Amino acid sequence: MSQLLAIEVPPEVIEAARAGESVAHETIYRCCQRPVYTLIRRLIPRAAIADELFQETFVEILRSIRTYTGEGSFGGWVRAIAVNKCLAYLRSPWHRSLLRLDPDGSEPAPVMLLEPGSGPEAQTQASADLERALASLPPLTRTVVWLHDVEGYTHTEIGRLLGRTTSFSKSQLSRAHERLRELLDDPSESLSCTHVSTIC
Amino acid sequence: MHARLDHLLSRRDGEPLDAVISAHIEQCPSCSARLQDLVRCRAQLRSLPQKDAPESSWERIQARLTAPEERRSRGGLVAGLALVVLATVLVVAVRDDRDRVADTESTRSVSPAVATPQTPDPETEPVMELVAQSQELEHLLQALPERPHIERVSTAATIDAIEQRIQWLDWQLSYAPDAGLSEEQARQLWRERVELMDSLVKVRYAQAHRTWF
Repeated sequence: MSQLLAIEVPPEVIEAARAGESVAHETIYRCCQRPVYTLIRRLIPRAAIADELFQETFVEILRSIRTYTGEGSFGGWVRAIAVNKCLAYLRSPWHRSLLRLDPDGSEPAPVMLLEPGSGPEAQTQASADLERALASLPPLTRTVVWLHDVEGYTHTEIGRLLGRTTSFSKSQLSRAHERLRELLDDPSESLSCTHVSTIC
Repeated sequence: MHARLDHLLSRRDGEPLDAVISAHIEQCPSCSARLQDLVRCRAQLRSLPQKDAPESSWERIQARLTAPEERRSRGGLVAGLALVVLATVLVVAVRDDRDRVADTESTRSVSPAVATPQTPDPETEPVMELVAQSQELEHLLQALPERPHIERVSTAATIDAIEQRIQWLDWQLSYAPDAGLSEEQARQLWRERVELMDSLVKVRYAQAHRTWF
């Protein structure tokens, strides 16, 4: 289940962060950076864009921490900010202009170099293949499968986040698993190369 | 006949599922195997390795946390002035609107910002009418001078925010057939598009004529 929901930040640290103490800010950053960055990279595989969104997310978290009331988990509050940042990017004119180049994600994706540490030598082949297959999905499909299967969002919540219906989320999840199966079962889809979605 | 993928996903996620389909999945080796694949795939997704943020991220975040604060304090006055200007523009636009009622044809070419049709009942307004209004506003927008090379930050931000929202609406509308939007939902989206286009025309019109102020 979501790593973000498992985050535990002591209440006194949150209180100190509300008061603007930079040490508390850094503590929160250290507690949350890994799951937040992982979430953003899963939704937005392109590293440069994900890095920018990651920074924006933490700037917003630390600036608006006074608005965190303590109701609900702190990790859930952080996650909502990160997800909203990613969705705002996916809706942005910049991303949309790229989307027009690849409206249904059916175009062959370009081959990109793997980052150090994400290759088969650093993780199991199955994980590496799945990671690449996930990254090659169209952005909306990838977002739905990650939010649902990993982060535990319901279809209703995803539909609301995307401004769409519950059934839309369900159909995207089916599409995602259908495509993942094709990619993982069929070697001709050549997951031995790193195919990453052209659109982020 | 085997269970569909969405049925298997519903079964995997513990959602309500027709009893006949459930029984079939239980008994059918092919469907059971596919269900297990889906369970395994979800487990693999959840166990994908975590990623660490780039090392310099915290320093960059710290820099962004402090620097914009200084700009914001200086920018407060600017933002306030921008709001006053925008409010004034809207007052002028409304006044022009009243004039237009008296003489619609003569003022239409002078004041594109006020050319929005009168607001009908949002519950019954036909979608095609909203589409036509939207197109009319597009034409008015195109008739305005291009955005200046140098413009106020607040104005640019306002225009960009409106344009982003319009593009988001267009995106939703372009997927409307797949998403199975009802007529009411489509009407709401088009209604919002017309309102945003109207705002955009007004802001752009004010920008083009800001020497008035």
